[in-house]
Amino acid sequence: MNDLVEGCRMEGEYRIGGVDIFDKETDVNVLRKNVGMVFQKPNPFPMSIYDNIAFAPRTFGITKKSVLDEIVEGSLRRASIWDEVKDRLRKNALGMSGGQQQRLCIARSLAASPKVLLMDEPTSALDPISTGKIEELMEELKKDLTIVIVTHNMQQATRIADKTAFFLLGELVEYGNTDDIFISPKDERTERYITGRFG
Amino acid sequence: MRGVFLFSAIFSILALVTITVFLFISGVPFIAKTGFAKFIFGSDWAPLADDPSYGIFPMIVASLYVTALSVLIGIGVGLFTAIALYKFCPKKLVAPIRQMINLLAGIPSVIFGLFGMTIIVPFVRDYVSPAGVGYGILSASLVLGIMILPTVVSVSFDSLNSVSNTYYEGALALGATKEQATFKIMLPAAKSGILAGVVLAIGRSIGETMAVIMVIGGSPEMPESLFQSVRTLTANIAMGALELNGDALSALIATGVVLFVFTLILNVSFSLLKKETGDKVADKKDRRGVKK
Amino acid sequence: MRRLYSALKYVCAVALVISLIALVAVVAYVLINGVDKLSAELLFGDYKDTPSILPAFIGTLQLVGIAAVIAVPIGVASAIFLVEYTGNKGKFVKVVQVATETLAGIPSIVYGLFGYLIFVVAFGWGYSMLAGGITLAIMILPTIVRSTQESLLSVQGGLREGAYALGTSKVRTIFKIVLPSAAGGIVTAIILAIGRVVSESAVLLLTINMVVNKIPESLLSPGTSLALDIYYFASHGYPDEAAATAVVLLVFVMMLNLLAGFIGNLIRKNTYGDTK
Repeated sequence: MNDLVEGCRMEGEYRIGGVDIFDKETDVNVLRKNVGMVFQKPNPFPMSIYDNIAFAPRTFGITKKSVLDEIVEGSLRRASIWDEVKDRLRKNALGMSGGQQQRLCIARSLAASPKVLLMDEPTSALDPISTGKIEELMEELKKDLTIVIVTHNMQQATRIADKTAFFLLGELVEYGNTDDIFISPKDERTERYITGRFG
Repeated sequence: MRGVFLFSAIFSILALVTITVFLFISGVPFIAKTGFAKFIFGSDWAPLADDPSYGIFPMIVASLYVTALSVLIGIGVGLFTAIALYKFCPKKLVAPIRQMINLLAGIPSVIFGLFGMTIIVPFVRDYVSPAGVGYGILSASLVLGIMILPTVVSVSFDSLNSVSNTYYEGALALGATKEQATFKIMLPAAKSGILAGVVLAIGRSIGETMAVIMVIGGSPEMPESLFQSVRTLTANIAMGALELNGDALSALIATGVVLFVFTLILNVSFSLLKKETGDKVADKKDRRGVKK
Repeated sequence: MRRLYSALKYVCAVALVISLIALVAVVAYVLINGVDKLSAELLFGDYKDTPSILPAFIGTLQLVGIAAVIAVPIGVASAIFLVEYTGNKGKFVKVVQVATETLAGIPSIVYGLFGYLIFVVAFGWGYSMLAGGITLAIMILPTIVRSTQESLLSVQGGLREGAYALGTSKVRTIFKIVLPSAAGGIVTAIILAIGRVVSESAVLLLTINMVVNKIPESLLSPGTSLALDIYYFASHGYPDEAAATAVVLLVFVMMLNLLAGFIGNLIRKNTYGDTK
C-alpha cells in the first residue's frame, strides 16, 4: 500500500514477527490481514453496520451466519460501540456520527483479528468527546495487540503511548520510552518540538 | 480478471479500427474508380441511368447549408437561453427548466422529423415560401435547430457555470452592471467550453438522418434556394440504401466515407477545444487512491 | 454601452421563451395530435394486413436486449480497467479515450453502413435483428464507458484503501466495494443508453430493414422497431398511425429517461443511506 503514496521513501528492513514484509514470498493479502489500518478520515463502506464488520471475515471465506454473528458482536464489543449500535446493525453505516464511524472502522479492523493496528491520526477529524472515547479504547486494546499510532497531538502521545518515536521531515530523530522522550529528550530538536519552540 | 477488463477496454479501439477499415476498403476504391474530383465535385447524381454518374457535390453543399443554418438557429437561441438561465432567470425556475430541457434532449429524432413534416413543412409552404414549396433547406434547418437546442443549452450553461464566480464578483466590485459582468467577463471566460458545444452541435446536425429525410424533399439537385427539394449526404445514404445495389451501393458507401471524414475533422477540433478547458478539472478528479 | 447590455438581457429572456415554446410545442403536438388516434388494433391488432405496431414492440425489445447484453458488460469492464487498473491516466487511457470520443461522434447512418457491410453482407446474416442490435451496442458503448468511468472516479478513494487494509484482493474490492458504491450512476447511464437504442432509427434502416408486417421469427430475421414504424407510416401514407405511434414512442422514451434518474437516486439512497 506504500505504492499508493507518492514520494514515499523506504530504508532499512521491515519485519513483523520476524517476517520481512517486502519479501517476495510474503502474501500481501495475509500481511494486510495481520496488520489492521485505521485512517485519518473514517471510511466505513456504504453498507450496513453488520456488513461492514463482516466484510473481512467473509473475505477470508467465513460464511456461516452464527460464526459471523459472533465475530460482529465480539468486534463491536472490543471497539466498545456494541451498546450504541446493537439495535441498528442493519442500518447504513454512513448514518452514524463521525466518532462512531471511526470506532466502527476500528471494529472492522479487529474483525480481521490483526496482530498490529496502524492508526494514522485517527482522531484528528473528530471532536474532543469522540477523541476521548477512542483513546480509552486504545488503552484497552493495547493489552492484546500492538498499536502504532501517528499523531501530531503531543498530549495524546503522552496519554496513551508506551513508546514514542519523533520524526522530523522524514528522519527518525529519537525513539524511546514515552516518559523519557517527553521529560528528558536526548536530542535538541525533540526538546524544541515538545516545548513548543519549533516553527 | 485483469485480462477480461483489459480486453474490454481494447474493444472500443478495435471497433473504431474495424469501422474505419471496413468503410475505407469498401468506399475508397469506388472513389478512385470514379475519379476523386468527379465524385466530390461532380454535380450530377444519376446512379440508375444507363450511363450512371455519381457526383455528390450537390449533397455536400446541401449538407453544409443545412448544418450552417441549423447551427446558427440552435446556437443563436440556445446560447442566449443558457445565459438567461445562468444569470437572469429567477433561481427557483432554473433547476426545473434545466431538467425539462435535459428530458427533451432525449426526444427521438424521428419524432422531430414527424413534427417537421406535419407542422413546419406545411407552415413554410403556406406562409413563408415564395414558390409554395415547404420541403427544403429552411424546414430542415428549423427542425434541426430545435433538435440541437437542448445540447447547446446544456453545454453552454455548464461552461458558464464552471467559470469561477470570483470573476463575476470582481467585475461587480469594479462598478460593472450585472449585464456587463455577464457578457464582458463571464461569456469570454466560458468561450472555449461554448465553442466545444458549437462543434458538438455541428456534428449532430451534419450527421442527423431521420429528421432530415422527412423534411428535405430528396431531389439530388444543386441547392439554389431555401425552398427547394434537395438532399443531404445522410439523406443520400438513407434514401438509396433500400433500393440500390452494385456500383450504386458502393457510391452510397463512398458517400458514407466522405461523411465519416467530415465527422473525424469535427472530432479532432472538438477534442482540441475540450483539452483547453477540461484538463484541469480532469486532473483534479484523477487523484484518487487506486491500488497498482 | 450600458444600455446595449441591458437590451441583451431582454434578448436572453426572449430566447429562453422561444426555446421553451419550441420544445414544449414538439411534445404537446405529438401528444395532442396522436392520443385520440391510438387504438387497440394499432397497438395489438392483426399486423399482416392492417397496420399494427405489435411487431415493432417486439422488435424494439429484442434490439434493447441484444444491445444491452453486449454493451453493458464490455462498457463497464472497460471503465473498470481504465479507472481501477491504470488510475485513469497514461498513454493507453488516452488512446481509449480518443477511440470512444471518436466513436461517439460518428453519425448513426455511418454506423448503419458499417453494420450493413460487416454483419449483413460480410457475415452473411442478411438484414437481421442481430445485425441491428450489435451495431447499436457499438453505438452506445462510448456513453456507457464514459459515464461508468465518471461514476467510478467519484467513489471515495478511502473506501478502496479501507478494503485493501483488511486484506481484500483487488478484484473483490472492485466487485464488493467499488461497483456497489458506483451502482447508482452506472444504472442511470445504462437506462439512458437504452433510451438511445429505443430512439434510434437511421442505423436500423440499413441493418434490420423495415419489415413492418411480420414478427421476427428469429434474431436472424429482418424486422422493425417503434421509431422505424413512425418513419414507415409517415412516408407511406398512414399519417394517423404515425401520429399514434409517435405518442407510444415518446411516452416510452420519456419514461425511460425519468426512470433513469429516479432509479439511480434510489440505489444511491440505498447504498449511502439518507445522509447523502
